[in-house]
Amino acid sequence: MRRRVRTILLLTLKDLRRRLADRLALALNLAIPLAIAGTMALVFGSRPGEEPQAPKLRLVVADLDGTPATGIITGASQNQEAAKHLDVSVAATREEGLSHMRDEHFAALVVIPKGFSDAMLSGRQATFEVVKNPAESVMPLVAEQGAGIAALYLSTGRRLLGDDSKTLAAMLQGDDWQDSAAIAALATTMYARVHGAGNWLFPPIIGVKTEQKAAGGTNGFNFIAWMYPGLIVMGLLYVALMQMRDLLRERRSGTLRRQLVAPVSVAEVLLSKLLAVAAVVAVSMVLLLAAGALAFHIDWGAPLPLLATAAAIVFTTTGFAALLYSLVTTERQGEAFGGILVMVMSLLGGSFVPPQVLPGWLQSISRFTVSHWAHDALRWIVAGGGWSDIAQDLLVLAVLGATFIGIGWAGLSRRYARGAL
Amino acid sequence: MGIHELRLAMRDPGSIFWILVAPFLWVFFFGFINRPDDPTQVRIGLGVVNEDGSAVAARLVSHLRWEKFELVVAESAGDLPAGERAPSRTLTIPKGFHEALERHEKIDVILHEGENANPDATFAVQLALHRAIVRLLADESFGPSRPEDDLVRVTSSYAGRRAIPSGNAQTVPGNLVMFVLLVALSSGSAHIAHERKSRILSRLAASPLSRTELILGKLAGRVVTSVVQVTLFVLLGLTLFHMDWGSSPLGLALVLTSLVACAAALSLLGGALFASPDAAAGVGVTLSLVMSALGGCWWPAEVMPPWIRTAGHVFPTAWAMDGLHQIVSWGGGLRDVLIPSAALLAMALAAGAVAVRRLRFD
Amino acid sequence: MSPGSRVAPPDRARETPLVVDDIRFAYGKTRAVDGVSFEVRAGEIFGLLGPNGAGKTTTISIISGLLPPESGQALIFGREAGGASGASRARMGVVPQEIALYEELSAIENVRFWGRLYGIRGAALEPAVRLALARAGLAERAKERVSKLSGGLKRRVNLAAALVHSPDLLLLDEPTVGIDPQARLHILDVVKSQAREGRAVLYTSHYLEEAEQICDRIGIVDHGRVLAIGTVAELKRLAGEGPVIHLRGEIGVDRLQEMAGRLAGVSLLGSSGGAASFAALDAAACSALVRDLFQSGLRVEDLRIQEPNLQSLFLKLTGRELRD
Repeated sequence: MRRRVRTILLLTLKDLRRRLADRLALALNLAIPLAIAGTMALVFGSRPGEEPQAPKLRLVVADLDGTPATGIITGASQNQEAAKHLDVSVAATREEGLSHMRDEHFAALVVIPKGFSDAMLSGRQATFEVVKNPAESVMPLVAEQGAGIAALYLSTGRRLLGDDSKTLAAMLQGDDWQDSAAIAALATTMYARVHGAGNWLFPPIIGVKTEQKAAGGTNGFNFIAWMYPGLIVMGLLYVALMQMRDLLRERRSGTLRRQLVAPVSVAEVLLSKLLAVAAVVAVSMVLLLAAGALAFHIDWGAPLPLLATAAAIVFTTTGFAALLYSLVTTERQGEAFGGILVMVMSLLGGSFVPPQVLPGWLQSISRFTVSHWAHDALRWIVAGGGWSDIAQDLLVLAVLGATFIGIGWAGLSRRYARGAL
Repeated sequence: MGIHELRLAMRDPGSIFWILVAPFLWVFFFGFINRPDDPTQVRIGLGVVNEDGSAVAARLVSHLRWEKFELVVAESAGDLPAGERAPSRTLTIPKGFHEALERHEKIDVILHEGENANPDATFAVQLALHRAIVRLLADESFGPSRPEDDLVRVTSSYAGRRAIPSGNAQTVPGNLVMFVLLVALSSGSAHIAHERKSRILSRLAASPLSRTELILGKLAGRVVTSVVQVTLFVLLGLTLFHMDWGSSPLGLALVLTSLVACAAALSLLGGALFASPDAAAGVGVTLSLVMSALGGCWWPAEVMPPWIRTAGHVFPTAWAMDGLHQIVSWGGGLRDVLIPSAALLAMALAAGAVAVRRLRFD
Repeated sequence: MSPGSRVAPPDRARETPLVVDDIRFAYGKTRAVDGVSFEVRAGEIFGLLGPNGAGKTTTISIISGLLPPESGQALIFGREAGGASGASRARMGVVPQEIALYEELSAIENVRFWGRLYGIRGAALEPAVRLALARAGLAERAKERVSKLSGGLKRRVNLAAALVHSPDLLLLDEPTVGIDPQARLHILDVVKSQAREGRAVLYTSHYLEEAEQICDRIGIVDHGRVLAIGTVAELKRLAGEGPVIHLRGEIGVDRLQEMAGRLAGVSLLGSSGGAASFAALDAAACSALVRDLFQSGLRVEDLRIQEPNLQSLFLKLTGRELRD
């Protein structure tokens, strides 16, 4: 027994020493999930407790009406508060605005037609136009929705002004604008109205408080804390496959045959291969968890549940790699089929889109993937979950890992018995 | 040599996967997930817990119905459906709601987003709630109204060729650009490194071909492979994903040709710089993913901070996406893609120049 | 000396380092080994000589326990080669045809690993490693990565890795393929020294010069069968006293067969593509053949007379050149 343990240790350490001799390859294995996460943090990242910074809405406004009323509207969009969320550029004509939008990547063009303010103040229907940038997907819709809100406020404001709006319209069109007494009277009336109903309308006295059960254990969606566990799982699957590929590399170079000719059993050789792969996957796991904590400020919660989850994931990903390489005969086949499987599992398991976005039937299929259970366990860990939250995930991962290793082992042993290992 | 390179690629299961299978799996998945719904028919599920029970709270619920929420209303959270039928979002109108309004005191309604709530709908939900609240307050101030009575209306449309651009207009071009670069920078570079390591390159160098012919031959190999990829994307985009590739075949061809040239040059550069095929592939994959992310292939460019959107133009991906959007989204022509194509060709020249200097055959 | 079953009696089997008894193996429909039997004694170098595809490597694989024979057995010091116990394999050193080394590790790291794997522990390991490297002439290059070494040096490391545990039986599968003459000579010297130290050596090759140079006995194999076994001298006698005549020219097969039938002591060994070989029983028969050729008016472009050797024996046994 001691001899067996020594032999297994010798073979495993040999493989680890070989990995360390090619550090670049090892580093590149880990670079991919870190690079993706880093890029996402750059684009979307925010620290826990901070509100995620939404991109500014970039609008072109073509005010064809040109009245002080519309001037107030366009001016309001450029005040200090609004400037935090809006980036507004002014165009003289619709065509100029369209050209601006296309060349300078504005989300939308708002066209206030001639006669708009007169129609609105006179109680007639007034329509303004939003032209959306077809090359953008998100912000034009935000602009459209925002315009809808603005229209609602304008309509409400018109209701607030009541008959005084007609007086205001007449003043804007005619010379009464010079009559200071008329202005003062109008201002007094408007003030009374605004002070009354406007107090609870602008801004609305009813607020919306949002509570989210989100990753990171905080109220507030931490994008990276949601996305990163999925990237870890995907990254570890690839690491496991890259490492297990060594089995076929050794077969090709002849060193596997040489080991099998030596006084060691095939079981010792296979077990040492699994241990070496698991060791590298475990180190990768530690590095990815550390990067998550240090670079992306993810709180991985209590150590013991994290350790158990990490061990389960290492076990299962190693088993998955063993199964795959017991079925393929060349390294290139392993890369191709492994790539397909990892990609499909990652897509279905929540590494790229939240599982709840998937249709129900796809969500059902995803439960058959390693990624689903591994991702779920890690997200529970990040959300501050405990043993009861991850128990089912760990059990499924353990069963999957044992099954994969069992089938992979049997396949490789059969291959050895045929002399094809 | 170009055809020979393609033949080698088609014998390699890994290359077949990344050229023929993976891109369409990706596009199909994301196209399926992101397929655009008719916005007039989308209804978002919302559970409402009306703890207040007052008439004004009931009027708020009415306004929520006008905002096209699919409502489930209850007096307490426990009365809402549970399990699989539980609403992913709930709005709680707290006790004391109407009294606070009567006293003109600020009061919050609480929107709870469950873990199964689709985050893509969050913003729309918040805006719809805001509209319902403004309508309620306006009605409380000035009397009841209906949305069709609003004085100020908005008409909206898209510039460009189509009434409603499809989600595929972002997904398909983005994946085309990403996978062309991914294959070129990973297996393309690795293949050249492998040929040098296995002495095939030195064997080629000992042949009657000149160094120039050899390099052009290697580039041709990458170009042929990329052209196959691009052609498949365009054809399958047309047939499977109902992509509208614009009205300027010349413009489209110019952008795609420039992209292919750039990818080929970068592939040669990767093969020149790395001795190990594994290193070439690993760096190539990492770089192409980062470039794709920052160039707007993965998500609409406008969601990125402006400085990243600008800085991303050091990568060919951003220029390629700019050019494709001009053709696909704006319906532009040849003139509209001159600048992005020129940028891509300039990058191709620069990468190619470095690669030619650094490429060793031994 | 004829090929055939040469199974040692049970008592002798335990002493004889290697006994191969009527082993058979097929890859699908291709019979790779078809009833091969021989034994290798302590202190001798037994050569298995044959062209590519003759079954040499398959035979080595069966002996080293990698392939289970369909029938027959290979016994190493009386134990089955493929047995679960590693005891027989521990006394065996294998130098595979491919350079089965870890390119990322240095020469000494490779040899050290294989030494440990073969059970050398503790204080005995380093001296054994250094001795193996010294024997292979690698003392000064021991710390270099295998990937940086030339082909010849890699072959030497390949050899050192098999010698480190001082095996009683050494199997070498074409250990000099693709290396320069100097490196080849060095390896051959090392192999000879191993036999001198009392080890049994099984040496496979398709280079007959090598086999003639170092082997005590040789088994000639082709298509999975041992065609002849014996010492070099015995095999040469089997090849006959007379020479082999090789010629090339515009010669029809019918004419050649007619000539061989007419001349006493001359037999046609084979012909193809304008080349033919005759065996002559003695010098007189050889002269008669040459005279007949020139008198026949046939257009002979090249004529070579070869004294009997293993090449001519192979030709005689198989109708083909050893290098075909």
